[in-house]
Amino acid sequence: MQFYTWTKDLSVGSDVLDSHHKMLIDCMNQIHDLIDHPGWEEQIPAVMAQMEEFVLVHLSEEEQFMKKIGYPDWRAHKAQHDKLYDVVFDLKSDIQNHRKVDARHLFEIVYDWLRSHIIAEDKKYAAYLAAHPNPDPHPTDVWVRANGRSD
Amino acid sequence: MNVPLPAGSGSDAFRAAYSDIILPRLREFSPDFLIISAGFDGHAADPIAHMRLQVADFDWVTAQLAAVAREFCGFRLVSVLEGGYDTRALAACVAGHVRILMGG
Repeated sequence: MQFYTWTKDLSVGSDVLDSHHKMLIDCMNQIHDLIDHPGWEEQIPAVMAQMEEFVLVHLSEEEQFMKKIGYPDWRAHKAQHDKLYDVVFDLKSDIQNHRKVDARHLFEIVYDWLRSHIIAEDKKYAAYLAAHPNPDPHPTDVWVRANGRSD
Repeated sequence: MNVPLPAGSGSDAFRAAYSDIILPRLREFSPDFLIISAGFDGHAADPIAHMRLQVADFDWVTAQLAAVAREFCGFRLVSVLEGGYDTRALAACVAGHVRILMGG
């Protein structure tokens, strides 16, 4: 059973960005499954690499999306993204330098991002979009095309 | 030689171009030294180029070119930073590039 499932109330008004958030939740569920699982150390580098690519593409597209819809607080939102990426970058460096990265620690970072950022902050630009409809709000579907995922 | 890739190309096309065309020709040429014009705007997060590469692809090609430089020219290799317009992706790609050139 999955630890967390995406539901409609998490929607930010863009199918593309919703699909990204579903992928983040998939990633978080994978990490959750690794907690206390034998051999998790061997799987962490691959999960981390996947997460880094997801974070890079998703954050970039979300920022372009916010600019496109005219969301006035996009710079503050981007600053949060930069902080998040710093955490991911440091974790990747730890793994590359053979420092131990605990699966539970990694899970807590992603889960906290889900709760504090996606549920709280991302919903703010979704509310702005709902109040200021844009005829073509959709960002370029880079991640989905690059990875072949369509849901 | 120039090996253009269509917009939207990802890891498979990029690596195949190097493995099948560029690296064999480079070895055939037997260079005295290598200069890399290190552009990272092919990353999927980059808003300018329309490629779909990942950090791992840039790591991979760096390792391939470093291997050629070691094999043919005593690792005489210069890398000059070029494009990259998503600063987070640029940072990730450059960090990997330098780490691998330093033997990491």
